[in-house]
Amino acid sequence: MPEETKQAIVWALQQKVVDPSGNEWPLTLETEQELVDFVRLYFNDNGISYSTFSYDDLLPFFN
Amino acid sequence: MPGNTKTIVRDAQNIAAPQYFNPTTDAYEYAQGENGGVRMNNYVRTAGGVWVPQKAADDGTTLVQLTGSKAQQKTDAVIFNAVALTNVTPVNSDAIPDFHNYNKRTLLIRNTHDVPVEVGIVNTMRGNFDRLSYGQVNQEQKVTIGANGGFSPVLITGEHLRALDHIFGYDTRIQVKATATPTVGSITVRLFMEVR
Repeated sequence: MPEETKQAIVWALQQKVVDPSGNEWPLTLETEQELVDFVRLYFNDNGISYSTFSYDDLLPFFN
Repeated sequence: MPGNTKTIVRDAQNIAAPQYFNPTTDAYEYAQGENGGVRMNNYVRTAGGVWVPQKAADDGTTLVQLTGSKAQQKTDAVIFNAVALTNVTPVNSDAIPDFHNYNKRTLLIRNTHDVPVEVGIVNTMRGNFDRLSYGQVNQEQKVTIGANGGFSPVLITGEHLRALDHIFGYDTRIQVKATATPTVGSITVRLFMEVR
């Protein structure tokens, strides 16, 4: 995983998910797929290269 | 001796008392239950039509025992937990334990990638991981899950992927493969299995 993974997670946890009905809720460590998608978004927006990863690959960065 | 050859017990006024016939003592006896009530046994009828007394635990509760082979034969597992695919290389899951022990299987899939993802079943009958096909026409066992399915998990059953309804051996896994290079998103696959 990229060395920026920890900060990507921190950034992702500050984001909100909006569903098709307009309801908003904050990301948590338990909203697993949203967390991965936002971490990926962070990598993309900051030009960080990465290979295929999953939620399980993020677990070591939670502490 | 049968009960109709014995004399029933009577009270002080020579009236027949509440009683039952005890085949062990071969005589009628007063029915004397707890707190003046009548002591009774509960009998239940078996599937074969035989009446048998119900058993109770020491505290008086009825003993219940589940028997048979269908108890607890239901399970679910996360096969892919938010996997962010970055190329079109197929990715196989870990081996699915006891896959062949269940005859009803359902996949719940959420694909948030910006491209469709193929989901199939692979098996090691030949020694390698081969995608399963069905029937003499070799209909490949895969389904294509649409892109951007953010809030719409898809339910895949044997109606869409016949191999889900059948029992076969060897090492069986689920395989996902992006149809083009994804740039955002991920895929989650859960497998529910039960015996029916």
